[in-house]
Amino acid sequence: MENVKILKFEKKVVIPAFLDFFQNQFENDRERELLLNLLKDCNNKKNTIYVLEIDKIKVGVIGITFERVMDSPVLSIDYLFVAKDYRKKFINKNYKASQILISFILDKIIPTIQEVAMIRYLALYPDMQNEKLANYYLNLIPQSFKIKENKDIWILFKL
Amino acid sequence: MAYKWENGKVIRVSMPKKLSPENEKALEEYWQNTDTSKNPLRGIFKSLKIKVIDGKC
Repeated sequence: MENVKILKFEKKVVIPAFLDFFQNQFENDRERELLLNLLKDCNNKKNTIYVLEIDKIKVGVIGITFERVMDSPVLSIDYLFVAKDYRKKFINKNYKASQILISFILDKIIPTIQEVAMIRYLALYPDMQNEKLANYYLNLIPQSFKIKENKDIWILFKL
Repeated sequence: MAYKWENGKVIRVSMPKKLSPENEKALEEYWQNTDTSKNPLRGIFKSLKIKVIDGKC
């Protein structure tokens, strides 16, 4: 049984150290640059970051912020990143890192927020705006819904 | 807020404040007709009894 933890970062992220956690775990420059922007925004208090750690190895990151759409509060997943070596691995034999990170948002973060404010949707923006990545996220989050507005694809999930 | 990768650069994007009437209607129908309370992603985190701690680096 693996030792699984979630680490919360709200600010004061030491960016070089953080990127070192994921050394050789980026598929390409795009992934590294997106994570770098997420970390910079965390230090500017624009988002909150959660890191999935398994047996003291950091394997995934999810960053979240609040938005509003149609006058409804929405929790936005700014970026979801899983280390290359863990993308196809099952943790505790059952779940992928990306599933655990999204489940963490649904099981832990949303109920805490909803004690004080109603949130209508969880939103995700495919960083590469193509159907292949959109379909990947639709499969990752069953019962989610895709809309295309002003040429931008968004994935929404009813909370 | 989210990020878009376009022409080798990262661009910040936000959800539109207003949707087109078609999207607004479609989203409302999705809201009315979808029960996500038994979604398979719900409960994974709880079942694994994962601890959440403050991160340092």
